[in-house]
Amino acid sequence: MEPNSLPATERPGESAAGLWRTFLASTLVLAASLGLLFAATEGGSASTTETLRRSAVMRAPQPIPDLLVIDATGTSASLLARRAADPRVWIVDFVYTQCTSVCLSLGTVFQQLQAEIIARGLQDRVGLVSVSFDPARDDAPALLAYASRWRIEPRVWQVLTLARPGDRRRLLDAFGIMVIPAPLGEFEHNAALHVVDAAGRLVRIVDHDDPGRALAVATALTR
Amino acid sequence: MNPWPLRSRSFAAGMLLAMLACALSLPPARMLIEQSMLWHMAVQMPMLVAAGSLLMRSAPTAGLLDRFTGWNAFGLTGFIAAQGIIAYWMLPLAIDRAVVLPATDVLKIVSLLACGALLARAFARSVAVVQLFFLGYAVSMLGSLGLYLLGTNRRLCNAYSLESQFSAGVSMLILASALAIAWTGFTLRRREGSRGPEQGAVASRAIEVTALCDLQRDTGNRPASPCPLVSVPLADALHPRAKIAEGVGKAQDLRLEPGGVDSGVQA
Repeated sequence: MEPNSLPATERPGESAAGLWRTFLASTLVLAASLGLLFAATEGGSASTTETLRRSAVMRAPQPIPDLLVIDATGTSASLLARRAADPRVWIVDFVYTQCTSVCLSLGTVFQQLQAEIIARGLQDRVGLVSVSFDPARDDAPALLAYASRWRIEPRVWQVLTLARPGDRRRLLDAFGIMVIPAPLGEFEHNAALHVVDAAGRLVRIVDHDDPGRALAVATALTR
Repeated sequence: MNPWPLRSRSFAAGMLLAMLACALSLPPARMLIEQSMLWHMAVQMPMLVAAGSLLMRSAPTAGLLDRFTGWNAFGLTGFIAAQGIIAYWMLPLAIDRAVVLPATDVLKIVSLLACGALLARAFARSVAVVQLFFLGYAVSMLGSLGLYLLGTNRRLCNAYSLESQFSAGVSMLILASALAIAWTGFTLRRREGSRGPEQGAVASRAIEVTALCDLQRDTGNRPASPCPLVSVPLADALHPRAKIAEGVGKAQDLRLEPGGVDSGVQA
């Protein structure tokens, strides 16, 4: 910022040729910057990782990973086997049962969805799946407690956790969930509703405060 | 004045800042930028820009760098490139990536150091109006980002909690205000220092005379007597203190009194 440090003798920048070259260079640099920003944000439509993840899934549905999971009864099975045995479209959320923050609202949202599904008689077309990403603390009894806390109807809503804690990374990466440890043993994570079709593909990610849309997407897939 | 001490001080400060900023990307200090958006956006990123700027100021001004000055009149190209880099690292998705992907983190370090270097060069070559334009833009970008981070309940970065986002918003506002105040103070002080009331009058006369003389030379209308002056191109006269001081010095050598320009040229 100190103008005194300039080369004193020659200032080629300010000659007529320099102005033209600068005009050319600035225009190129400006175009490159805008191009970079345009590409990074998918044409200005996505500025967060979350919007990017959602539009990527919408463009190209992604297969869910095959991981060994256990349910509230302690039965273990592969996730894809469970998926294949169930003809319904799933709406999946990710939780940990010790949660006292955002997954509480996820629990409420799923409870509303469950009531809506039963009220509209959609239980043969749409199922709810809560997957715990905290397998170290969430064993079958913890899942059972969670199920009773939220008054889960097993015919609509199932709760799963990983049988092998080592699979946690794969699970989170496949669904694009980023979990960050928070004080008091809590986690903070991007909460959303994930629609998985009967073929085992993640086809849509919807905001967790928009369950109506998730249900609409899911029912549309079953037609 | 010997430029060396200033230069080596710039270099030492730049190296120190760069090393501290890089250390924030390595364990154990990496924890800080992984857990706090404030440490990432309001501490590490500005540190990298400042380090790049100081290192560039300590670089020799003659030589390889001067080859490019023809492409960077008034620092315009540098300002635009720096603005592009800053805009990219304000994207929440870019911040997330720098936290998760080590390669992106390296890219962040390199590009922000380069951004600082470009800015140092651009500030040294530009007049206050151009600086104000770009600084004003950067300050309003930072300020509106800060306000948005403060006001929204939406987590923008998957890597950071809402509380962390809030404190980052506060720090963005502080950073924006600090930049605006620092630039204004610096520019006013420099103006003040470069011309006292009397000197100012002499300097502006000297510039007029120079311009007149240049005009005459360019149009082939040579003045009757050899143009005695100070070749200060107008663009230089508009801003850098050194040039003005030089012009004033020569004008005074010629006993060019304020108001006595005509006699000075025609004598």
